[in-house]
Amino acid sequence: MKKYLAVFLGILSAIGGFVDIGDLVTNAQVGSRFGMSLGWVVVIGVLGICVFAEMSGRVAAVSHRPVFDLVRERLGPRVGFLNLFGSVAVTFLTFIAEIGGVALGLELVTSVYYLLWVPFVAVLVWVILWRAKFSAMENVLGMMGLALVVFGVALWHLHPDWTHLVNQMATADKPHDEGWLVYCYYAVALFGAAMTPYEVFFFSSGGVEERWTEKDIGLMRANVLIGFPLGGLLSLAIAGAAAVVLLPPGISVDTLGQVGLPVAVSLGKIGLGIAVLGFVAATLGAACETGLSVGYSVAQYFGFQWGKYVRPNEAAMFHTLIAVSVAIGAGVLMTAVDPIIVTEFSVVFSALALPLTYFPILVVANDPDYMGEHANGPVANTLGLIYLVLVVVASVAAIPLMIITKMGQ
Amino acid sequence: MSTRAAGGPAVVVLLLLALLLGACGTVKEPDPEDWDETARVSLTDAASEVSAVKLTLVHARSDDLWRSYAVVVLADAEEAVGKAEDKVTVLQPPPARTKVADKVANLLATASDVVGKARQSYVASHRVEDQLLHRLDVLAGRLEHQAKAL
Repeated sequence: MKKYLAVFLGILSAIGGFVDIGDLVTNAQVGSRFGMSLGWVVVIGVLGICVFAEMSGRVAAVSHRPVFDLVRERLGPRVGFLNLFGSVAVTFLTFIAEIGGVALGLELVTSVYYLLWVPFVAVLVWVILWRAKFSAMENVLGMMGLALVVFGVALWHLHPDWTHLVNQMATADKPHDEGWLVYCYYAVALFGAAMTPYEVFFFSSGGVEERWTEKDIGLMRANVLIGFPLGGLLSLAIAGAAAVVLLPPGISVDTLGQVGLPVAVSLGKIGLGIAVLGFVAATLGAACETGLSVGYSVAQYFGFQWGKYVRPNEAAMFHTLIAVSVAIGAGVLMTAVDPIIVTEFSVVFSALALPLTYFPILVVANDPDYMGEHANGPVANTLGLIYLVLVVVASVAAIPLMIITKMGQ
Repeated sequence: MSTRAAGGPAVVVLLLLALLLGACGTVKEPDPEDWDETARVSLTDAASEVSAVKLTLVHARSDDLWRSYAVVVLADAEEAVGKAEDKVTVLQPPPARTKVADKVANLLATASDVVGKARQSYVASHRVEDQLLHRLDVLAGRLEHQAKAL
């Protein structure tokens, strides 16, 4: 019974923790401009993150070492450093966007300008990362993030033409006034948002923090293969609600407040309150995950003691890295840079960095010296290779599309 | 000195020359197509914000939104319309677009004014007049129409 409860809690946390500021903003933007015509990208992206999260989780469970640690050992310091640079740069950008997202969520509740919330949020994130237990942090924020299920309820309550929505998704039927290049730009952004690199680093490092063994592979797979796709459904619900409420009057989303409008239209104040709780929880959870991921990645590469399973004074460099990241992140936001613009950059640069993240994972998960009998089988390798091609295409296309379309204009 | 080492400064000189020649060939007049594109994006952005303001006010009146949320959405929209206006008005219009540039600037100024007044009125009285909603509706239509006409 206890085991089933653990599986259930893990799945719920995975669902609630799946959506972050990148998913919130990008899915709402895409829904409000393209309807459900880019929904297929979410499906492909979610399957991709499942493939690589399963691999990195398996690596952590079998080797008891996180992926970054092994990448440096297996591929050498140069490739490891390239991997570190690409991943940490994108994760740090995402971290800034998440802190900004929490501040924007609090602004919606209080009307107090978000910049005044930024220092408070930064301190809150630092305190959580310093003091809270790993499992408590993951479960509490993940559960609160489940509040975003309200987007699914709102969509249902709007009584949309389901056949039309599914047809749009299946046939990639974009509105006529949108160009194909802009469509492709948003496809890459959605793909980047769904396959954000930090998710796999956090997942594998979390596995080591929670002392996974080979016995936990089943539990890990349940979290990934059930939790992540259900989290992906939340992304589709956000896009669907925006497609039904915001697309017809021509409202294209560019603020967090506009992301919540479809819920207010459908369910009123109570629904909106739940949605805002979801915004704050999802972005706060992701801020903690990205903050930890920055510390994990750098500490694992340089061989510092890391993790929340050891006392802070035993992992002093790891906690110093986190504290410095929080301070710099808050400092960047205090320059009044728009967190939504930071989010848009983070999802596109995330697409750019995808091969740097996922190629090494595929190599390590294939190495029988580390993985023994748990090395990748033919299915994992076929999917891994297909996704490697996809992430390379997305990576190559990301910056040219961003420039040509002037960030989707 | 090797050929490879001697080629380095020559490449740098050629690049500098190319840069200088490029600088000499600066545009004398603004490009009409670039101006059209900027104006189209600004008008579309402004139309989107005006529609968002209308949707927010309609549902604030039905008590579907709490006040702080509505105020933030309205203030964000006001800021966005102001940015859209600035994006066009800071550009020197090409001679062939002088008339339409005035029209676009006036339309965006009206949008900025109406959205600003809508926010002020909601903050001051919490009331949303039918006349204001109608005005926003018409304005969004005019902005979209002008964007399509470019």
